[in-house]
Amino acid sequence: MADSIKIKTVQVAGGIEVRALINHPMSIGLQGKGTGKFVNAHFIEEVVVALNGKTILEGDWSTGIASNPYLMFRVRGAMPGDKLRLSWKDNKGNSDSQETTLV
Amino acid sequence: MPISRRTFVRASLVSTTLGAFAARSVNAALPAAVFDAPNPTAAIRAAMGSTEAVADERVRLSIPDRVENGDVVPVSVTADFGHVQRIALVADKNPLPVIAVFRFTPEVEGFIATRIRLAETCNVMALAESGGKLLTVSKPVQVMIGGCGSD
Repeated sequence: MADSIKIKTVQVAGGIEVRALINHPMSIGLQGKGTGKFVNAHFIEEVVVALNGKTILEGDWSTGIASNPYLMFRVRGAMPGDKLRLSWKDNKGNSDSQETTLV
Repeated sequence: MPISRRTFVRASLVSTTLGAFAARSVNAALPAAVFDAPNPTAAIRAAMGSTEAVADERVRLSIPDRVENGDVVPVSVTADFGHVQRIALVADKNPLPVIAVFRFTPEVEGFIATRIRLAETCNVMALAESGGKLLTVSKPVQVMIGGCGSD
């Protein structure tokens, strides 16, 4: 289900700018009585971006990232034809990934 | 061969330890200590391995001074001092102060933009690491409606 990820890339000086939008609740869960600890949170805990199969960016997230996460970053020296893949994995074992070819 | 109690105990200990280790090594997410930390300083230490960050203007944090809704707060961090290996975002009043840690290879500029949750009026801090140096910048953000009451 690669539907959860949208990736847009824009050429900028010296490389490309990547804008990604992920469809995910990033739920903070409920605060347990007494303990104050949050339970049953549902959030993306890891995001990995690879350029032509090589990991270039990793994000370790908590529930502090807003729902339907947005991410923007810049890759130096990326060329048209390069393949950029973004994958995520959440704390309930769900995952998704999407690849786009730079133009 | 009958399994003695001692052998069983030893075997189960070994398998639990191995299981925990395997779970950690495939899981590149924030370490559990970040989530269990009693205060922001301990959380930063758990996430970044150090809290000895020096305030430096080469790290820039762009975030509104005042937001209506803490649920979705746009933020960007620019770190301009060589190859930036890591950028962390921290909100000192959030139930989980460490919001995210981003790790970069040299292909990626020391820059990240995203949207975060802020539970209440707080100081938002960005930490950037390059060549073993940890630089930081922080900005107060006034939050009208906190971002941790709703899903």
